Amino acid sequence: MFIHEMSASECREALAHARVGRLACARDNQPYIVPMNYAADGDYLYVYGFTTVGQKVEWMRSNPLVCFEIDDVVNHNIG
Amino acid sequence: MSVIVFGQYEELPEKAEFESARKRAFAHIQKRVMWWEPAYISQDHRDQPNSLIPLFFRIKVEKMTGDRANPDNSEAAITTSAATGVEPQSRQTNAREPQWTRILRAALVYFVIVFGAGSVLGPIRTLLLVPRVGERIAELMELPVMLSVILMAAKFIVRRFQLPPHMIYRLGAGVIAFALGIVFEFGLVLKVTGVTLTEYFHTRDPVATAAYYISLVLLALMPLMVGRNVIGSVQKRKTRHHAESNSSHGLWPEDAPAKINAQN
Repeated sequence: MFIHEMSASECREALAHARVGRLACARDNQPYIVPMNYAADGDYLYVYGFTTVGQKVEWMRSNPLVCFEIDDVVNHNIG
Repeated sequence: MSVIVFGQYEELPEKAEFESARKRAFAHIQKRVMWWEPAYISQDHRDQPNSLIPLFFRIKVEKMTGDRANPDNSEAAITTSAATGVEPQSRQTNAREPQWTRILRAALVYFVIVFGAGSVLGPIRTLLLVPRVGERIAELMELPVMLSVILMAAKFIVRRFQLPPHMIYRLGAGVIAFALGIVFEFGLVLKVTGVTLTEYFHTRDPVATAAYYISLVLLALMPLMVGRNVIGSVQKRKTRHHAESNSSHGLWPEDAPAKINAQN
């Protein structure tokens, strides 16, 4: 397997096309990860979400440092 | 393929100072059909819902990285074999053999882009710039343009042909494109212009010639030099002013269930 590091533009393109990501936050050394519908803005400075107040919001209020991940299986075959 | 964003959670409460940000968040999110549903369903279908207080938020992107995995020859052979039921030939040897057709195709595209651009810029330089500023300055003026073309072309072929960051792929494509360039320059161009190799070296400005050969060497090396580090970091840019959405930006859309609107 070859691992190809994606350029900034490839990352932005992937972020623009995916619909669901995984939002990870942490509190008191305990990670928490949830799937999330999202939309990225044109400048890719922000990822927007809409939710109801619950565990992830409470955790992110206490620790706003988060990770957000998207993934996709693009192609199994070469050429 | 996976992309990871590192960022900061920012809440967008219904307050005057967040009005603009809320409008922007809504403008982006409402493009999705039934955008409100996951948040609603996730609470409504719990035995004991936490809350139905809707909330817009955003993650301020501070860094972004991404990796794409591609199968090597042996994996591709196994995948094909599994899909077709046909046993691949020489699976063991395929694993370490570089795909020369891919390298060759990448080199050919790389050569066509760079020397295509050179063929356009060359006459412009010779006819317009050289009579005005001389050969040396004209060549030096062209150099940054050509280096930009080489950089963009190298990034393009690495991405388009998924060239892994191995010497054989990257340098292979660069050196083949370099060789094609030499053949093109000293074969075709000199033949067409009727200049002999001796005349070519005696009449050209040494600085201009050096600049040209530096760009040729960089042509060979550039595919190896690009994309070796994680370059997915997002450059902080000045936030552009977005046209604000004129549409409604209430907490829940009008078509959201009455039950959830009643929570507002």
